[in-house]
Amino acid sequence: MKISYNWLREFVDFLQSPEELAELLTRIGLNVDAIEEVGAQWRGVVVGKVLACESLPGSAYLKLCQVDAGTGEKLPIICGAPNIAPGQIVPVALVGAELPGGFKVGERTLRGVLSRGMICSEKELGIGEDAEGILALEDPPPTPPCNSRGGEIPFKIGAPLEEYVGLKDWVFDIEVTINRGDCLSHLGVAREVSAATGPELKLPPVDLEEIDEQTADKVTVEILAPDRCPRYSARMVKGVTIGPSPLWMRERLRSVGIRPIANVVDVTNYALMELGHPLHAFDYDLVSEGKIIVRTAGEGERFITLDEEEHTLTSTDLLIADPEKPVALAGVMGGLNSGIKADTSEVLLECAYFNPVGIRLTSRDRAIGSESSYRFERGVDPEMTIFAVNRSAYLIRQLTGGEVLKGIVDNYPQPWRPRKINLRPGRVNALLATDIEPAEMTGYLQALGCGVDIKPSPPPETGVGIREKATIKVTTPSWRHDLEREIDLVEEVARLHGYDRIGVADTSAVPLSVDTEREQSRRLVQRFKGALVELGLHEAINFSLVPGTDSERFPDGRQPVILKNPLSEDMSRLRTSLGPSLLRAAERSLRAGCADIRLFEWGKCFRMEEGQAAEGYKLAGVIAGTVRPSSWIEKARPFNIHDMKGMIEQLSSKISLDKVNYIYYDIPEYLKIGGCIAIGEGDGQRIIGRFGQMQPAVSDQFGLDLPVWYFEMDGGRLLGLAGAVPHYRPLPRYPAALRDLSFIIDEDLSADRLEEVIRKFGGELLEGVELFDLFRGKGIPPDKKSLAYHLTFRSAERTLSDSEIDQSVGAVIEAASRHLGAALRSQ
Amino acid sequence: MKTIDMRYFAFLTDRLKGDVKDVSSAGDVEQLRVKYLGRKGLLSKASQNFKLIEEPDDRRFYGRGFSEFKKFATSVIEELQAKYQDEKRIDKVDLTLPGRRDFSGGLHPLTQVLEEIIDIFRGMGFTVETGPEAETVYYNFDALNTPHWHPARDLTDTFYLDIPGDDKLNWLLRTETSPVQIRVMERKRPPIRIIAPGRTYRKDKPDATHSPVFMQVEGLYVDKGVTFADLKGTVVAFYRALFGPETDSRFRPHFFPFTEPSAEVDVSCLFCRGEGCRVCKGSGWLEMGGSGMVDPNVLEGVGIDPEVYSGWAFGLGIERIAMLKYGIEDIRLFYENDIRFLEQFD
Ligand SMILES: [Zn+2]
Repeated sequence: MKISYNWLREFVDFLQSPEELAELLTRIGLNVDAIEEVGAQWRGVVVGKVLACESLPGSAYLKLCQVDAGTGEKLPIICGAPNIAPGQIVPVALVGAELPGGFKVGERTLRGVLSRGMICSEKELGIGEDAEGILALEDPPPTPPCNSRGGEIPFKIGAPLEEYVGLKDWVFDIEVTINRGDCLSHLGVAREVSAATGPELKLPPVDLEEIDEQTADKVTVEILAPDRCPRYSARMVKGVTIGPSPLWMRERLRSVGIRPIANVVDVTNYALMELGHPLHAFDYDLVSEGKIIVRTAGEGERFITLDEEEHTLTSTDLLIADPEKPVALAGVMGGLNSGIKADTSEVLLECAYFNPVGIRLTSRDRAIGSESSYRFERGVDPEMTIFAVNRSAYLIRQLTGGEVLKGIVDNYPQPWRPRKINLRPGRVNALLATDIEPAEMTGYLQALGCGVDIKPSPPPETGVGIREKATIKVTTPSWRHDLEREIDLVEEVARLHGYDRIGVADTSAVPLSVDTEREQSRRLVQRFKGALVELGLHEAINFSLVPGTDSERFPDGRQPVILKNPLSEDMSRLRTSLGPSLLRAAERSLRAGCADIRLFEWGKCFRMEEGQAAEGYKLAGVIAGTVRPSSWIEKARPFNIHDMKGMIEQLSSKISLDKVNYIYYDIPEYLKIGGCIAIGEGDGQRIIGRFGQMQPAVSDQFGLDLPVWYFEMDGGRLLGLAGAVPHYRPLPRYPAALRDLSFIIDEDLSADRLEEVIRKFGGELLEGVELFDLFRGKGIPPDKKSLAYHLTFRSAERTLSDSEIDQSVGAVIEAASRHLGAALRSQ
Repeated sequence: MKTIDMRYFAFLTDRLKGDVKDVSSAGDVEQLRVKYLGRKGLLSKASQNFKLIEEPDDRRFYGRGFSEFKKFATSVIEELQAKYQDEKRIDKVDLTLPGRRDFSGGLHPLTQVLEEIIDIFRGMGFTVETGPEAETVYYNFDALNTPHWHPARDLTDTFYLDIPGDDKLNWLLRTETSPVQIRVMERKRPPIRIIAPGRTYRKDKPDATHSPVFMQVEGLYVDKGVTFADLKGTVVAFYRALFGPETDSRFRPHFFPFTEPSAEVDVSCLFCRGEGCRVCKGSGWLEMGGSGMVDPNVLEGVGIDPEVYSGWAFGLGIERIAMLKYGIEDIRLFYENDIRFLEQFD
């Protein structure tokens, strides 16, 4: 909401400078986002007087003027405007002035004559469309009829133009919260300023000088939907002449963001900005029989609004109609068929109170909004209609020469009733930790327009045992629809008392912070993330909203949760897997020139489950590039599947996953090679994740044309299984004996089978088995491979003898041969 | 019992003499020193045998051999060190070359900021709580006292889920983490002192300052006798902990359905300390988030008597804080996960 500093001063006499006022407004809840200085765009433009004017020799239309611009000398200025005449007061751009649009005024010579400045038109000043002639100013300046201090505006030749008719101003951009519809006007903001600073609120003049002709003889109002339109007030002004509004009104409207159109419409907008109550002006001749009917629309009824949009209405829309046709979409916008035209002479003014809920529905469903609907939606003052319609009639009379008919047709089927709320001062002080006297509270509330009555009260039992000395019986004003409960009044008291005057408690009785399951999970998650960071991965945080194509490109078999009203197809559903977003992030980084990708994410994924949206955490990572950074020392080799598995093994160990094993079937479609990470054995086995190399066909679709490794784990299962507390094993006291064995086995036999046999038959003295070489080639038959192991033997009780070790080694060799056909490789 | 060869030092002496012949650089000298005189060197090992010798005469003999050899070895090595000292000075190793590094990962800046915030609140006695991101209209709006007409409920502001059979649009993506507060208050009785961090969603087109997916932390404290002054106290203390002890906080009246009285919290600009600069648009203040006393309707809705208990709540955006802290001007960077961006916060 834009609020003009000067305009505000017409309603309340405050002493604050613009900056101080902004600070004050912010402090009471009307946050000032910005202050704009009006008039600053005319640097170097002053009020001047044309002293003489003669034709420039040799030119048909240029004139050489002598101008007094308060500089102490006569300025020769050449001017081509047809309407220039001696004696005129005009805006003069002095040499060096800069006009809106960036034009710089300099000295120039025409036909050998020096011109020192420029007499400006409306267009050149950016205050109108008229470029034909210069802007002739009135002397003395016309004062806005609303301006209580009108004649006092200082004005002299040479004064900056913005001081002429008080154009110098400051406009505040105020953030009005949705509950404060009453602050969407200068009157509303002035009321707050008055309440916060003291000086009384003043209302603008309304001298109607009504003629004898009665409004009621020409206008009737019938309300068929009184719950939607509790009040409708109408007035007539006749004999108006439609034309542009005077400069002061145009500039005022412009300064608060309203485009001036023509006098009558400008007046309704002016009154709206002034009082916050929307008005509509009909051309009386276009309202059949002068009869206004307020009714709901028929299903499918069509109506064209002023902006030439056609709407198909439903029964939730409210219409202003005459006996033949609708003439306005109530509270939102007038009709194209009945608005003010250039030849309008009789004006029917509407000032109504519409139910906020209905206006909101129409505005939303018809996708149409206006300054009027914006205010009706937030609730205007039902008691304001008479004043607002009078004020508008008064301004129209002033501006158009029209005559105001006697009386108002005021149909008010559902009169407003004030709310009565009891305020307990003790309660206020208990919530705010303040010590405000009841009398001070009533002062604040009265300043806001509330009725108050202090009653010494028999102490009502409040739960916290506050002994109330009195109860303040409050009746709310008609413009404050937001004051419904005691707590609303507590806020008003707090606001006017000042939030900054409420203490800052530096102690507090603290209930013990409980270490919940969620807290433990959070610490585990920190551990997961920490482990991956140690492994050289960066954490990514991706949007959980993803494109619909993800489930085709990255088939994970999960049923996605779809948005009803997505922003775009790119964010039309919730992710079922972390993979696609990580692949996209990888692609972005590669494209940006990163050679190595190491990303992981911990986050929620969603799926439909039994007709419901279900969500759970997942952990996933994407890797591409080399196994370590390449440098001048060595060119690193590419990351491979064994690196991937090693990373999973290290991760499992860092996060204390117990009994991890791997299975190599049932791997998902998107993996080319890989495995499943499982915990436990037999029936108790749980798959908790997958890892491997992406199918090139899948990674290709995300723009990745290099080998990509991926892993994914189920967050819920990880949280349930990880974080086992390590059990201490006593450190060995006796030396270990090492033996190396090299077996030749069938190529098809997997390494884990051989290791399993070694472990099983090595006996209890066998402490460790470590593969140190895999060899194919010279000396090994083509369908065979050689696997070499370090075997560590140790006893907790004694130093082992060679014969004991030989015995175990013999058993291993024998079993490997018998069960797997493994031969010992000759050294 | 182990037998000790009393001729051990004679053997070592011969061996050292042999080793000296192979020395050809300062590096070799150093290796030799480590081998004989190092912490795990041969002399050190020999000294451990003392305790195994039982005969006092043998011990004396062994001790003499030990100290003689030590003296010998030390002098030989010192000599060699002096000899190769010059060479060491013109060592061929160029240490100005960059060292060899491994990949180093890092936590996302939003995670780092969130963890810091959680740490501060944990220190003030708050417990972390979480809840679902796919929520119901009840928890996200109704229970939070959001009026039925409030525009936040519109399809233009909030993402609703397309659940077959849910014609009333009962499911949505939470627009704040406050539903967690309702869930906790339904489950627990006061005193309640929690924070709820997490992802939230609003139907904002992504631009430099808006993101449809973002993160919040909200705090809630409900107990007997909780006041506006407690709210101010906690908020002031929190921002001082986060931004430094000289940070001021300002409370401005505002409107939030969930709280009354409500306040918007500003902190004094971190960059100009209140003087006015580009970041704070000249005002000297930075808007941080909403707060206020929990509305009695909300407490009643979860069966907590507002005549007995009162509480406050406040919320803040993680991205906003991270942007201020790291000087990031485009919120979209957080969700693009460009490694060149992430690396800066390792
Ligand atoms: Zn600043």
